[in-house]
Amino acid sequence: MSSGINLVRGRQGGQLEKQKKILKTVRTISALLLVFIVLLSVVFFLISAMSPINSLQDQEKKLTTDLLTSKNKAVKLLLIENRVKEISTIQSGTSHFDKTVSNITQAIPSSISVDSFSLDKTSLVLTAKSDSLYSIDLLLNNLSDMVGVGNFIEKITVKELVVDPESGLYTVSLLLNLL
Amino acid sequence: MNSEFKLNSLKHLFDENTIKILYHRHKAYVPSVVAILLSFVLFFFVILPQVQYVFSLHDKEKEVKDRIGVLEKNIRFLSSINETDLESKLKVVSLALPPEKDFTTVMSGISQASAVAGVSIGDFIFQLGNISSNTSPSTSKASNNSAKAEINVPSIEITLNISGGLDSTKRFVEELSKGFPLSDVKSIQLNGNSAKVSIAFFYRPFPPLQLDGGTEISPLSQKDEALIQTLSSSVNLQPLQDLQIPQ
Repeated sequence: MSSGINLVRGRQGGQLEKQKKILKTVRTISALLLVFIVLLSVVFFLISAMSPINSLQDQEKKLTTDLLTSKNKAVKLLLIENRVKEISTIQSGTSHFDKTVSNITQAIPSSISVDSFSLDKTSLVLTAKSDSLYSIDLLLNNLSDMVGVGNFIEKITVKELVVDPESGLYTVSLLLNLL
Repeated sequence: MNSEFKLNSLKHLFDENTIKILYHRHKAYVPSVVAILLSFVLFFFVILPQVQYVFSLHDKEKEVKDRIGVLEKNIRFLSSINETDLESKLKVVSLALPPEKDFTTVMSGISQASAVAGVSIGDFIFQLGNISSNTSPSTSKASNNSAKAEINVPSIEITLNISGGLDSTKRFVEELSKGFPLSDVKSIQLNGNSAKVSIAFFYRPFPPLQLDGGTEISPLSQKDEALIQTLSSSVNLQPLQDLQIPQ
């Protein structure tokens, strides 16, 4: 028997070695991949397990409970803020008739007596009497000076100017359109 | 003919025997290939969701930490507030703008203004009647209507007769503007020595409040404090009523 007989031809023996190498490589890659995946999974599991989220949530609950003890103060403060806001809105929207009346009365000379005075948000009707046409003129000039000043009077219309020949009194009726 | 030949070649390629031969030839690779495929599957279906979970956990931690910061700030701030001071401020602003229709306070305000202005109030009748937000017309000298003022705040409208000339009426209106509750004169009609004045007295119920732990409670601004200070200086010396603080 010849021990030198090699039934596997040389070329096929070379291929076998190559296949063995490829198999070894594939096995190594698969093992490494599996290990890598397992390691990644363990790492991420540990990261999520070590997260302080639970203790933070407990802390938040405790603080919310503590805040409730000061609930009354918080409510009062919020109510005050609400009231102040509403009051500011009201104060900015009111007609300030006191200022309107004050401005008008300042324009009326002392020699004039006011018969009637009708004021609303858009207009003012004033009826005044005087024995002096000069005083009426002064009144008209004073009011005219106010037109366009301080966003107060838009225009003035003299509705009527009559004289009573018996008493010598002049009666003027004015319509003031307000801004 | 060609297509038939190709089909037959394909059938020959994938027939059972061929597959068996291929399997026996390469069966050593099967576990490794399966392991690689499994790794990919695990990566996409386990690892990636875990990564997303960790990131979302991080975001959640940040949110909770922010809320904790706000809560601690609110607790510190509220602890530092003097409750008595708060109580008195609330009473002042509630006198200026009552939370409900209060005819007693309105009458008190009118009396105060007339006393200071030196005018006398004619007979007026409060028609209580239907205390609701619907207007109720009245032919009497004084009527009260609950209606929304132009500035969109509920109000009680009162028309009253006062005796006095233009100067007295001016003083009366001035005193009303300084007094409580807040009011707005709607019209003045003066004839000789008597005047008819229409006034709207404002009120506003307390709003429903919801305390949200996540919202920062801030102190009153300087402007608000200044307004309260101004109102405090105008407050009438009348018994401060107990207020129903909404829970």
